[in-house]
Amino acid sequence: MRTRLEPSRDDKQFAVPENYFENFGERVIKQIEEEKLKRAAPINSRMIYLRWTAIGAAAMACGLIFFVWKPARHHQHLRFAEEINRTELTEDDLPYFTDKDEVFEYYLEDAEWLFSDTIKPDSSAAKRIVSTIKNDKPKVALDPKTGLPLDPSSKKKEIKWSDLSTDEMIQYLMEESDDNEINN
Amino acid sequence: MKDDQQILELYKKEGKQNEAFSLIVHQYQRPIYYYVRRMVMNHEDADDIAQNTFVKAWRALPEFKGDSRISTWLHRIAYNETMTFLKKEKRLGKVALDDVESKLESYLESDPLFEGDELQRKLQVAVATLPEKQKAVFIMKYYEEKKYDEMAEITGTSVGALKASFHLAVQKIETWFENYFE
Repeated sequence: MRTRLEPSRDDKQFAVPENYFENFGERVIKQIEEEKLKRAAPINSRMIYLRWTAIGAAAMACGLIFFVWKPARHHQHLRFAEEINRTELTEDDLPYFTDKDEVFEYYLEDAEWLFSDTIKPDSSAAKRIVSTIKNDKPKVALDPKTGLPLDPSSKKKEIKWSDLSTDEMIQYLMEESDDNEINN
Repeated sequence: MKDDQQILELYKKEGKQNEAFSLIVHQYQRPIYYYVRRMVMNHEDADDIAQNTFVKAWRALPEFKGDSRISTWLHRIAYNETMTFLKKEKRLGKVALDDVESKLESYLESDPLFEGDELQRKLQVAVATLPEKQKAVFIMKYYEEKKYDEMAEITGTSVGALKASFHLAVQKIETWFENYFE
């Protein structure tokens, strides 16, 4: 025998607390009001939060610059200055020189042997040489005997400082310095 | 009792929105609550979902153009809210399919807000074994006697699919009872 599903549609089986439907609308309105407040509140608090986060981030960045980065740089300078005062400059210090003129000055002051008869070992002349150097000069080979650069057009002809670019001049000076140290 | 047109006209009047909305709540709170209650069984959850339904309706009311009846529109919101709730419950593992019958039966026996007799309690248990959408279709057709067209609007499903779904649900429940009485 087949079971037939007969209607059983009354809502009485589901009871509700007393006055539930009488107060239902009131509770819905209350929930809507609460939601309106909640929706308004997060916008304000979020804006306040974002504003203070931005201020905080800016303050932290300033703090880092003043208390971490700047002292570090200052400390580095102090350490280098102490090093300079404590010891004599050597070629190891050359990377700390800010430009080629300073490197050149170093050799002018401390390496008189470098100057052949074509160059006078006074700093003003050397500076004049540096100022007239042409950077686009082709690289030249060094004479194995004299150690001086050779003019590619005439191997025998001795070239002058003014024929060299700054890089070539410094390279030459450094190589000469090495040879000198080895010889000593 | 005011019809949809009167309520919507009242809502459009300056400063009358709350009054119009109160009318909607007053007129539709019972059908919405009972639909949800049959779907979730316990009063507390049904109360939460029914309230959320009306809160969402309040928010969406400015965009409501009156293309469907207010009751259909509210039912659609309630249907979606209930489905979301049941999916969440399932995801959280609160309802295990294998022991849903025994748990629900003992719950209904002890629930002071369930006043049905044993047969009605059994029917609730049998309905609870249906898949969620099928359960919704069964409740709307069997308890609320809604037309398929309206159900299609509420669920977003075709009339044909709803008819098949209801037919299948009835078959399952009848089989459940057959097994129970054997």
